[in-house]
Amino acid sequence: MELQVWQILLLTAWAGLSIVDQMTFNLGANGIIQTGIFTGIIIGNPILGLLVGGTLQSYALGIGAYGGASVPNWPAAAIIVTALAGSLDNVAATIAIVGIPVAALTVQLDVFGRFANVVFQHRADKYAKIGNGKQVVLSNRLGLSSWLISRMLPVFIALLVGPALIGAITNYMPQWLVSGFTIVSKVFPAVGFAILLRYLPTKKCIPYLILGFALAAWFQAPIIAISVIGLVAAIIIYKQSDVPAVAVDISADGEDYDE
Amino acid sequence: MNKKMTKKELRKMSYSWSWNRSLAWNYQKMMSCGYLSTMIPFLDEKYKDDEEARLYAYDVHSQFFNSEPNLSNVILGMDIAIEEELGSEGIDTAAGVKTSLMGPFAGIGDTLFGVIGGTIFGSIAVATAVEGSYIGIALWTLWSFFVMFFLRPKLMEMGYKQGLKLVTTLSGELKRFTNAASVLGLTVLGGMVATMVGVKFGTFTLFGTEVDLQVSIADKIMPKLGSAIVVAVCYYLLGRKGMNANKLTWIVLLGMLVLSFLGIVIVP
Repeated sequence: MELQVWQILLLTAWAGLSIVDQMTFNLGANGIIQTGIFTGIIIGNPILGLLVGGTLQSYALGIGAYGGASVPNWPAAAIIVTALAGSLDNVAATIAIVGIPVAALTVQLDVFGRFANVVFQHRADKYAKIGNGKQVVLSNRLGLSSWLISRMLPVFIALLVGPALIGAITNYMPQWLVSGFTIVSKVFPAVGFAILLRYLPTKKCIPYLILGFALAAWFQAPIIAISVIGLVAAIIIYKQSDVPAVAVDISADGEDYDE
Repeated sequence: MNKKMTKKELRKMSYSWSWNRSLAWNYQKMMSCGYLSTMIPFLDEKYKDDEEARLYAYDVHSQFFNSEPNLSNVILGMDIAIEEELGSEGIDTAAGVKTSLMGPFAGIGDTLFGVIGGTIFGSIAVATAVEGSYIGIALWTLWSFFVMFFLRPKLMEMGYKQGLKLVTTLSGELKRFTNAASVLGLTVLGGMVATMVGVKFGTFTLFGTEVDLQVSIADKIMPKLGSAIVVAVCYYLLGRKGMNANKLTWIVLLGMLVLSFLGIVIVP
């Protein structure tokens, strides 16, 4: 789908807002679904954005930037896929051809941002030594520039060259590859779920995983119903568990740090 | 000099932390810049008559810091309570508390807020979004606002008012809470595996006989067998050495293309 200049600029701006939100308040502009909806509004099809955002969010359910890890850039993918797909029929193929590669390849730009900020760290350290608080705070804010470049640049370029590229690819792509990509887009949530299972005490609490699966697979229970049943189990577990007498060892060095 | 922080000041400081925390996040000292920037107004006020102590405090608080953004509020609250009570003598104590708590708090906080919060609110948001409804994402956004404007200031206040004795009670309570929340998270995730992962097997020709893998094998065993298998394989692969999320992304992408080319899986 061809994009107007104002659309490209607004979407690029959102990509910037999105990463700033992720690094600061976490109010939702960093959200994949919210980003999809915003893009949808800009291109005049909010529902398309909601669906793209929802699909991509399902890939990212288990993925957080814990300990400052660099993770696939799904918000950028949500912008690009929603803007370029144009209609619902193209969503699966656009996700597989553009969305997943963009999200996975732009990880390197996140690494760039986290490296580049070392410069501002040194600047802050220099001013901290002489007690110049204003300059320390400014150095901290300068870090914004690395984040903005790392997220706005790929989105801007992809939106600029994307429509022509997508057109060329879809015209020449054989049917088996189109269906292959559709299959990929349906299977892909498995990656996010598996990552999440690695973080959660899956082995210890496997009955509940099976419970949720069974409710959905055999009884087609909606996810809200499954949540309520899970909540019942959680409340019972909480009420029955005793408060541990000794808490964390505060001298221990944790491995998991956050962004 | 021993002015007590008001609720309003603590709230302001919590907002300041939310804003500053990761602006200059870097591989060298991670959130150090954000921590110091948040502390600066307090330090400047507290040590305005003692330049030596002020410089020392700047130095100490510019050391490495990294923890979970929400629970970090507790650490900041404790830090200022200690320095307020002990003055410049307390700077080293505060630094010790900060260094020893950031690791455990990151572990608990990432699980509780990142993994579990993300699973529960995220799953509901995904499940409703793909059906064209905004309700789930509205709930999740509401939660984000609650965390920013209520929970983080509250955690800062708790850290400030209760100090070190909070560590024992809070972390015990958080562990208990995390445990129960994991149960909810896993139940929801089980449902998500069955609803969101779509796998349909194709037909396979063996000795001249065509076998419909989906109808005559998978469906006979249980519904959503394919979904369960794919997630189990991904889970297994992630446990292997040298594997990470990015590599798995490419493996699944290419693997599914091959399987689809061979006709073993088809478009659901």
